[in-house]
Amino acid sequence: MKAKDQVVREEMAPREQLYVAIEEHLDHLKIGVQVLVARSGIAEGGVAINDVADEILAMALETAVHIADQYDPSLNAYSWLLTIASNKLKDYRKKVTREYRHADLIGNMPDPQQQDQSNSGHLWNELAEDQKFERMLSQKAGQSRLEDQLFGLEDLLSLANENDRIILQMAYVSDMSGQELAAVLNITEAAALMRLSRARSRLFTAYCKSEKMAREG
Amino acid sequence: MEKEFLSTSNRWMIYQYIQALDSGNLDNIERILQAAQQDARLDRMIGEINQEYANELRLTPLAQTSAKVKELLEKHFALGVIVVDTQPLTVGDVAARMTGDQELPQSHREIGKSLLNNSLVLPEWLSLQTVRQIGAKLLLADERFLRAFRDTALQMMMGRGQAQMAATRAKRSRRKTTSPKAAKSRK
Repeated sequence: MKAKDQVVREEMAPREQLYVAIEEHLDHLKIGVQVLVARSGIAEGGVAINDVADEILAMALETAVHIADQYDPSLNAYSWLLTIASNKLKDYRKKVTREYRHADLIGNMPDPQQQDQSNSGHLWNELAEDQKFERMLSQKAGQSRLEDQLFGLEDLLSLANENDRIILQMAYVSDMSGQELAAVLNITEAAALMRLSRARSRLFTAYCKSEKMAREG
Repeated sequence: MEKEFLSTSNRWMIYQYIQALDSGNLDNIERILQAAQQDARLDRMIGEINQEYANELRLTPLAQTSAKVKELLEKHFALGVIVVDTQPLTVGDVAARMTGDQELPQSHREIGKSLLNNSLVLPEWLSLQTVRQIGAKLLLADERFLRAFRDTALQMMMGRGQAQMAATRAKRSRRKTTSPKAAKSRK
């Protein structure tokens, strides 16, 4: 049987549903936009970040309201709205870069369009490599569990620092989930996954470096 | 402890999202947000990760945003973001809904089709007894159809009620921000 809330929402037009979703997610959306602005490097410092976030949020909501009739209520509204905000932020970053260039404040800054394209090409290579690395890490962890041969994984983990090694071992050797890591480390699941992701990322960098050194002899 | 249901692909997506945030890569952020639009678990985790970043970066809440965003929503709201159907619900309205409901038996949808143009207004309190009386007027005796008709009508009434409440809430909020008292307190 459908929940009452779901039934009520299905009775509403997409536009009405979007308004309800905006109302419901607004506080989280503000935080999400602030984080995107802060991490995009467009603004530094609390006041500047909040000013830009404010502008991006308003632009994103304006766009959302304009395309409200096309809103698909089966999509998760938070991510949908944040995707629009992320798009607005990209445009904003391009605009700011262009303005800087026109003002000749930055001499040889590359064309943002070209930069984006090359970044995205680089990104795909990076993602493919990273995915391979994830498979290798899981494979080594699987082998060590099955055959009790920790050599391959230990070798790899020796490239990581002490703190990173602990969390990586918990995740890949003990096969702990995000929730289990959070319980052991006494932090939230999101914080645990952030630590794990960063440890993994540092290990990936160290691994690439060691591979390169090995190739160069 | 209950094992979490974060799939391998979701875990990888979350790593990528964190890495993209750490490197300020908006292309990758957008790609993962697009995937999260169709994955409730990923959507929720992204919200939690953003909250964690906000704590880590010691971001202060966007206090002044509310006024600007409120103004924007009110502007569009006034243009009719919520269109409340104030017309009373008729037999034809309910029949139209039933005709398009694929979960109902074909026979019910067929009866619905025959009632599409019926403008008989339904009472606000729709007991089964009332529905039976309406059925008698319309020469409909199929008890299962009448029950399905009542369920559909009640769902539609609830939906209208919710939209009406949302509109009233917005009206109240507009009144609050534009009232002399509120204006005075803003000064």
